[in-house]
Order: sequence, then structure tokens, then C-alpha cells
Amino acid sequence: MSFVDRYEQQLRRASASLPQPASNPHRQRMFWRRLRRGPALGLVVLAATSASAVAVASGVGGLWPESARVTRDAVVAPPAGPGNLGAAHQTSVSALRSHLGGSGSGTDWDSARSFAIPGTRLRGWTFDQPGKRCLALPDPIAEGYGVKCASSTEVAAGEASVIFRPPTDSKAPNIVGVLISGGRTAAIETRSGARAPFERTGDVYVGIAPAGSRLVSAGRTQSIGPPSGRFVAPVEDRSP
Amino acid sequence: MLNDEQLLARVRESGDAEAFAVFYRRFAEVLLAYFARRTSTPEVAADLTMEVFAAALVAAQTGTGALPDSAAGWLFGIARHKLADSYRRGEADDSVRRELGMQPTVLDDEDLRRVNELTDEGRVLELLDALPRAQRDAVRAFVIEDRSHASIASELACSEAVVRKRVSRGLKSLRHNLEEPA
Repeated sequence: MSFVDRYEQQLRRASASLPQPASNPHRQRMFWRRLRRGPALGLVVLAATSASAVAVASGVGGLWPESARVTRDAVVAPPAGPGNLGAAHQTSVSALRSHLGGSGSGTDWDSARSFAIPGTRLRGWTFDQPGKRCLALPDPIAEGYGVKCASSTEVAAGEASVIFRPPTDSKAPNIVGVLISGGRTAAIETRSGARAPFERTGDVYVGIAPAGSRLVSAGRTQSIGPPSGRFVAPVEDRSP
Repeated sequence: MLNDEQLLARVRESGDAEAFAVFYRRFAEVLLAYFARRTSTPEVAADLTMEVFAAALVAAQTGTGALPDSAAGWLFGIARHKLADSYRRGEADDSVRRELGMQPTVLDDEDLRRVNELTDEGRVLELLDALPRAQRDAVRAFVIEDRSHASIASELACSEAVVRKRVSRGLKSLRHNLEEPA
């Protein structure tokens, strides 16, 4: 039995439990009143989440494959190299640890998980650091990862995202990922309305997105923008 | 056989669960395909589909306003609202489904295969192209391009009632053809 069949049975039961307008107007009014309370509460929660996002934005942290000097909302060029495709650190925790070097200090390597990125042959990683959850996505052209570590509050606010924008003369795709929590979802909105390869794996939504599309997560919207040859992630200044 | 609007009238008049089940059957997969092409996972598409029908059931059975002239347009209007709301909230709203005590969606492998079939853009466009031209243009403008009946009527130089009829007939043919094996 498909879920369409199962849902039909549920609808039949729900129909039987609903009040009839002609038979009991009071019960019907009470039902509508109860239904209307739901969305109102939802709006309050949404507003609180947005306020939190503003309050915690300055606490967003980052981890980089190279010791690059970065500032908040900085744009950092990924290091040149032979690319990530087939590299040992795509699937090996010890190779990833070695590749990240000192930048990965404090990481709980037992928590590291590699995942496939839809629309590519590349893989990304999630792992934990004290009080933070990290997302590492591979550069589609050069060797290296863009890594974002965020607290649970920041993840809930949709701030734990990594976006790679390849150069304009490259045919490599924009790689986009975002950590999620609490049953939330994320989506890529494209200009044409076509569906982008963007799927959930564990607590990550990841995939590729066409130029001009937008990442929507936890009520937060980020423009993917045109190809620029740059790696974009909002991080604070971690330089000495 | 009752048309879509007559089915809703039966639901409004007598809470006819069978009538709503028929209405649901007519639109379930078309609506699922609509959401699947606009959301990130089959699960989200299924959640939104369930929520739309839950909301439609409540409105049809317990609502006090007039029933819609075009059931298809009304249903897709709810669908657009739920989709926009899910983008804004970052998750699919399931408040009506929960209020009705209905269980959340769990998709098995066969369900996922069916959703993937429905999202096969080539197949959908192929079926769309097979419709008579007037219906095809109306369905494409209304469902794919998300345009209003009034806007389409203006472009096609006809009345909104004619557009509604073309969309309704086109969707009916489309859902019938979707049920046929590829």
C-alpha cells in the first residue's frame, strides 16, 4: 500500500471526526478557533528565531584548511592544487585530519562522517568540535575544503552554510551546503523553478545550485549569486 | 460521474468522506508532482501534499464561505500558499494535519520510486505536450508559470471562466495520463 493509499484512509477518518456546519455550528466555530491558534503561535516562534539570529551572529566561528586571514563575511580564495577528486581525505578520517593539520585541533574525529554531494562526484564531511558542529565542503576545482563550525543556536538560525562559487570560466557547479536541526528543512530556489540536486543527508542539506538561485534555510535566505571564483562563508576574524 | 466542484459540494453538504476521497484521488499525484519539482526531498513534497489536502478537507467540510468555482484552481491556490509558507519558515507547515490527528508521512522505497517517476520532468512535459493546445497553454501558464486566471485570460483574450475550464480539463487529462505506465 502506497503512502497515497495510507493517507486516503487517514483523510476518511479525519473527515468522520470533523464537525458538520449544519449539524453543530458551535462545535464548528470552536474547531476553527483552535485551528487558528496554531499559525499564531508559529509566527511568535519564527519571530523569536529571527531575533536570536541577529543576536548570535557575531559568535559564528570558522575553521580553514589553510591558515588564511579572514574577516567576518570575508571572501577567501581557496588554495591552488590538484583538486579533491579521488583524494584520500575525501573518505579517510586520518587523511582528512592530516590534510587539515593544526586547523582541525579540538575536533572529535570519531564523530567525522563523509557524505556524497548530489550532482557531483565529490564528498563532504561533518564533525564535532567542543560546543560546535562543523560542515566541510570540498572546493570543486582546487584541493581544499571550506569549513564552517557553528553552535546549535547558529545551526537552528540557518547560519551554518558553506557556498563555493567556481570561477566564471569554469564549468564546475556552485556547491552549497547547510547544517540543519530540529526537523527543519532547506531548499534551493531557482529562477526557473526547476529542481536543483539538493538533498538531505543526516543533519546536512547539500548539493549544487545554478547561478542566481537562493538558499533558503530556517527562514533565512542567501543568494548563491553568479560564478565568482570565490569561497563564501560568514566567519569572524580568527587571525592572531 | 460527479465533477470536482460537485464532489466538494457533497463534502460541504453532508461531510461525505467518500466524495472527498475521490477528489483526493484525482489530484494527489498531480499535486505531489507539483511539490516534488519545487522542494528538496520527496519527504517534504509528501508532507506538503498531505497538509494541502488536510487544509482542503477542513475548508470544504467545515468552512462557511462559498465553495470555489474551480476546484483545481482552489486546490493549487492552497498549494502555492503552503509552498511559499514552507520557504519562509524553512520547514513544511503541518499544523492542520496534526490538528486532525493524522500521522506524519513515512515513505518506503516504492513511494520514493513513484515520486521520482512523477518528478521526471521529461515525462511530465511529454504528457503536457500531448494535451490539446488550448488546455496545454492554460495548464502550463497556471501550474508551471504560477500565473493567475486573470493574467492568463488577458493574454489568451478569453474569460477567466474559460481559463478555469481549460485548466480543470487539462489537469484531469494530465492526472489520468500520469496514472498510465510510462
